[in-house]
Parts: sequence; structure tokens; C-alpha cells
Amino acid sequence: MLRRIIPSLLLRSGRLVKGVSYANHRDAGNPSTTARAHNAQGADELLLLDIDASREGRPPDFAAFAAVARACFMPLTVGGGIRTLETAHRCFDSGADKLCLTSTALDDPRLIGNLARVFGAQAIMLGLDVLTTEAGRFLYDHRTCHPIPALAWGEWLQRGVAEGAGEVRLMAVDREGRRTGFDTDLFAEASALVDVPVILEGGAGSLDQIATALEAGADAVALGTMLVFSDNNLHKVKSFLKNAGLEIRL
Amino acid sequence: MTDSLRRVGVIDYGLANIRSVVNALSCFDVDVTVVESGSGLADVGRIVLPGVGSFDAGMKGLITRGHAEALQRRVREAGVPYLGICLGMQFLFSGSDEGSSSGLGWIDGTIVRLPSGKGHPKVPHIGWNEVQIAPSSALMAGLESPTDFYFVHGFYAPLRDTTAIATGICEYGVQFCAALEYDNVAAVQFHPEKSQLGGMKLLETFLGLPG
Repeated sequence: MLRRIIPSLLLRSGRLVKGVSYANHRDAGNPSTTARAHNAQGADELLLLDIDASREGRPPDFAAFAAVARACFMPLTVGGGIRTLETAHRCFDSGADKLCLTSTALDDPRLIGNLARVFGAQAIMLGLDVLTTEAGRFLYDHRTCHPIPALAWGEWLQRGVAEGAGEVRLMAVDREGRRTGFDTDLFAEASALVDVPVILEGGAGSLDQIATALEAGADAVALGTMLVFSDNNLHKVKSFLKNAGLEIRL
Repeated sequence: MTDSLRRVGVIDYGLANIRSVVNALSCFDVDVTVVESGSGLADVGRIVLPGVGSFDAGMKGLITRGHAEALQRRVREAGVPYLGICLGMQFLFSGSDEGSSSGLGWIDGTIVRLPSGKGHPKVPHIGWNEVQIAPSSALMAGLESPTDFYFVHGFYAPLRDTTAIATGICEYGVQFCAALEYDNVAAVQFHPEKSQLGGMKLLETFLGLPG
């Protein structure tokens, strides 16, 4: 099975942005132009998250989803503010292939199963934001910028998959945008708890670090900052990994 | 190409994500119509049935919207070129272990669950995987074997039921039928509309097949 390299795009007010630990966002370009470039360079999938929708209690930016979908002939996962069946339908109508549920699933865990029963488990991705501090690992609520100490992250992971999520996006919030390398221990801990594919995100800064994450068993890795604020591009990343002997599609 | 063959109907049965298929087909010189009920299939020259989701819900949608009957008439009797994608392949079989509904039954055999658990790869099968292409394939003519395509599925068509018609084989814990072709019927388990260059080449070839 080929490992997947997935650009992770964050959407705010019709533009792409990128920050550090979900804060201090900087402009990162035009969504559809960026998607077109990733498509041409052989991205295996694309992740597109409207980062304000849940916090603002509104549906996501369907127009931006549709613009990106028209530029990409690879699987597109969208997320942000998906809390009803109607919103989910509109995401698919906009050209999405999978939905990523993060805070809306925390608010209503049954949403996962309700959507999985309609669209299939393979179309529902559970988003898990995990913050690691000296005190341990915690679920993180990006809407409030605070950890959620009342619910253990591993417990929530298992619950979400039991509810029907067919895939997991595992974000190490404390590493996001810092280029210090992936949290491969976090991946190993998550992977021991569930059988579905886990996409590891947060911390990619160099080609070696991506290779390390894949060698540690990651089914897929998501890249944000590294593809935005550096001279790396997907073609270079994938060629490096392939030459390192990893199962990569060029 | 005659005008009729330029009219491509994409079947909408209410559940599947058809937008990405429509987006991909619209890159070529054809008229793409989303067909919401069986009567709409009367005047299209090619039929594409995409699909993700569950087998039973999908079959129910196909039957209640009149697609099942129209497919029988247009594809099996009138010989309109057909491309089934993912569930659009699985519907062709007698049934599926995923549910209790009967399929269209054009191919004898039952869709079965990918093996999971210890010693097996993760299920569902999500991601890119190699397809070994038979030299006889018209649908994938011009593509090298193997070619990588994008898969998203938890059930598959066994090779034992498709020996004579399989034109693409993939391995994921087991070897399974990734593509099949016979008469005017073609079907693939993977998603050509999500498989970048190789997938677009396949769609282009389908749109050029003689009617």
C-alpha cells in the first residue's frame, strides 16, 4: 500500500492561511491556484479546513470548497462547521469526497455515525487535535484555544472510530508550524488504539523528518507550513521519499 | 463522434458524491448531464454510475428513481456504453455481503468484505494502489501496467466470479477484481476521477469507445 502525502490547507475569509499551534496565521495564498499546483505535483489527496466556521457557528465556505474541487482530480477532504446532514450534503455537492469532523463531533458524537450511515465510514474522517505538554497529552479545542482535560484523547479516538469514522486526522497542535518533526510517539499510541488509517500532521520541517514518520509506520502524513513557507514542493518531497526506499507514488 | 455519443449521463441516486465525477468528465469535449431519474437515461449516449456509500441504500436509490429498470433497458438491451465506478461496479453483481438487497444481477457472484484484523492491512482500503492491467483492456489501453489508482472501499468483487471479465487486478490483503470489461459494460473499483493523470486518461478512453 502506497503511503499518502497530503497537503493540508487552512481556509480563512476565502484565502489560505498558516500559523503556529493554531494561532498567528499568515496569508498562504489563493485556494484554487494552490490546489492546482498540488494537483500538478502529484499530491495524493488534499485536506481543506475552514478554520473559523465552527467557532463562528456557521457552515463552511462552500464556494471555496467548490473552487478547489474544480482544480483537483484527487480526493478532497473538507472540514469546518459541519454539524448537520444538510451541511454535509452541501459539502459533497461542492465536490468534496470526505468530511473531516473535529469540534462538531466533540459537541455531538452521534453526528459521526449519522453521517457515516449515509455517506459510508470511508467518507468520514475524525479530526483529533492533541496538545502535548509536560502534564501529558490533551484534546485541544481550537475554538477556545484551550485543552479539554475532561475527556482523554485516546478514549475520544476510540469512541469516534466506534461511532463510525473510517479514518483519523491526528494533529499534534504543539508542533504545528514549528518544523521540529512529527510526533511519531503520538502516532504509535493512536495506532495501537484503532485499526483505521491515521494521517499524522504537525511539525514537518524537513524531508528527513517526513521519512522518519513514514518509517515509523504512518499511513499518511499531512504537510502544511513545509509546503507554504519553504522552498520545498511536493514533487521534491515525494522524489526524496521514493529514493529513500519508501512506497511513494510519483 | 456522433452527437448522441457526446451526451454523457451521470446517474444521481441521491447519495453518492457525483460532483467530482462531473468535474472530471467536464474536462473533455462532451455534454455531461446529471440524470436524476431513469427516464433521463433515454437520450444519453454513455452512462456513468459513480458511487460511494452503502450497497443497500444505493440499490434502493437506483430502484426508487427508476434507474435500475432504465439501466436494464439502455445498457443491457440497447448496448449503451456503461462505466461503473466503485459501488457502480458492485451493483452489477447478484448481491453483497454488505447488505441484504439484491444487486442488478448482470454478473453472477457476491461482493465480499475485505479481510481485516491481525495480519491484514487496515480496512477500509483507502489510498493509492497498483492495478495490473490486462493487455486485452480497451478501457485502460495506453496505460502502463501497473498503473496507480485511488481506492476507497471496504468490499470487493472476488476474482473467482470475474475470471473471464477482469481486466484489472489489485492486491490489498487479497487479490481482487479492480476493473472488469465485457460487451458494452466497463466497471472499476477505484476512482478514476480522483486518480489524476492515469484516471483522466481512462475517462478519456471511455468517452472515445465506440457505441
